[in-house]
Amino acid sequence: MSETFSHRVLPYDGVDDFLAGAVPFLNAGIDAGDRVLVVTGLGSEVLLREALGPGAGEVEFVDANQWYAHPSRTLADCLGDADRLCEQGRRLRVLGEPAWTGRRPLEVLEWQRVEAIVNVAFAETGAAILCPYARTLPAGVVASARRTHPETLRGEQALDNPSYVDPWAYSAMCDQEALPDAPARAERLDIVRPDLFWLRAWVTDYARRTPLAEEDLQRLLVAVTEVVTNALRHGAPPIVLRMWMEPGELVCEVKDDGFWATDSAFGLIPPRADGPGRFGLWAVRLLCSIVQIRTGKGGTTVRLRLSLPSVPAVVGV
Amino acid sequence: METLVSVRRPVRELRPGDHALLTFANDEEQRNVVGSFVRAGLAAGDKVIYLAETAHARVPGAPNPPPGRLSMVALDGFNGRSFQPRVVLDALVEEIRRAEDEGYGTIRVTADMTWAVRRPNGLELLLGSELRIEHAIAPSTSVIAICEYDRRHCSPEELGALHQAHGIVVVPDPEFEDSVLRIVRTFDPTGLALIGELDASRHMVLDGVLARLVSSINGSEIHLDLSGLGFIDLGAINMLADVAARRAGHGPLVLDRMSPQFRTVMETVGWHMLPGLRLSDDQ
Repeated sequence: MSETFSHRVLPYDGVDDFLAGAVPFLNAGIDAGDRVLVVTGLGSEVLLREALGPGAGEVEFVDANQWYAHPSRTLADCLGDADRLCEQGRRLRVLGEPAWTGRRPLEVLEWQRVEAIVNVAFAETGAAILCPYARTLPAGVVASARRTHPETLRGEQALDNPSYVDPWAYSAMCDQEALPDAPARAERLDIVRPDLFWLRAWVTDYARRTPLAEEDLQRLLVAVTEVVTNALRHGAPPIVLRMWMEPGELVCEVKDDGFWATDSAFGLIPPRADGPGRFGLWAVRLLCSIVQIRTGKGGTTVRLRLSLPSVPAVVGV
Repeated sequence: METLVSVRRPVRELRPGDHALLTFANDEEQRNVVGSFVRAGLAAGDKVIYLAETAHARVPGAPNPPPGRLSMVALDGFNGRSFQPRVVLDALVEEIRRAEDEGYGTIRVTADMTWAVRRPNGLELLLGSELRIEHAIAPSTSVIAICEYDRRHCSPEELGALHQAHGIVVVPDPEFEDSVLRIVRTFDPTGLALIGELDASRHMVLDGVLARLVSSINGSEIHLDLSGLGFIDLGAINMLADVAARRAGHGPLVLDRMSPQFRTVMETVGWHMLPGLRLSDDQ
């Protein structure tokens, strides 16, 4: 692969600014025979189609809300595409404008973390990724983009970002804040025996009293089994499971007294299919909506969060 | 073709008075079931009566039978009359009486009767004899019998009639069983059926059973029937992928009848993570 990986932020003030950065980026891909993907809203799509003219036929447009559905799943799908193209000697070129509005702070944090992790995950794929950020976005969002993108695009010129942070350091910063304590209403199960059959029965009982969809219950059971198995193998007792409801979410927490090695990747990067199989924590991230991990001398906490359907489909006992 | 009235019972749960039917898919299944039956009998000090083609036939489960405890009834010893089921069954009944006289508390009888179905009027003659056996054994407090038939040589109608003539269908002993997980050998296709829930506390068990299976077959496909599995964890799936990878060049590891719920889970995780595993299309 002769192309080198790039991941740039395009801060823009208005339409002209946006097009001045995006159009040359896309045209370069069309000329080079890249697979060119534009992930954005309808407004930007119309503008870009007009600006690209006949070249727009070579570009795949995808709706941002659909594409940015789930941090780890989106990363996995996109990385899979980039790997396949790389093997064929082609390049994946993505113009990706994340949908920031309407997201809860925790989701925003996870998407920002993905922006950082992209620099590690895609490094060998030669992919070109450009992320437009409107200056009208909250200041914190734009500032974070400068920490997660190695370069800024001004017109056609790429400049180093002085505030760029090592992706793992950035990810650690995302987890700096302590998690709020589990609420007093949380239900608690002390895990004393290694047989997790009983744990799943307990989790199922709790989940069936919530609107959690059956498919998500299966995902949760696989995820919680994996996290508790890790705690039993590598952690230290006591291991405690707690479950509670938050607005729109079911939360399942596993706490133990051990702490993880500092070089742990926390399951943020997909393992290679041909490598030795250890995809546990990565799979847990795919199975849950959001996974929060805190580990240190005081013990390890893993919180699995699953979104609940906005309209309760079935109300349990 | 099994009727609803048949009771399925593993070999080790057979009790005196049981007149059980085995319809085997291949020699391997026959050896497995008959071997368990004979082995358990010899270990317990029972009398074992075995109907064979010749007096020198190898008896599964009895590499070195203790003298006197295993009686062979050979089909080639009847000078041609062996082709009458009634004559053969009378000879077996004779052996049973002798064993009773010798004071055995439990007498195990096993006979491959497939040949008799293929005789002219075979099924009819056979069913008459089976009825006599049923009447002789059912009230007995000492005799357990397994009548064996090769499924490949019986029509569905014949199998149906045979099921009606036996109160019990014998199935292989589970390879493993506790309150959470049962692992049963399957023969058509070759593989294992997993029933219950599988997680890290039983990975070693599955690994051991799979290793035994792999070493006992010649690199053919291995099927895992997951229809009875309520839960399987990621570690087990990983382990299966490792087994598949170790068998590279042999037949694949095929996962049959995975529940729709677990299929959804695995699609979320991505099957491409597990190159050696194949998922069959059935449900």
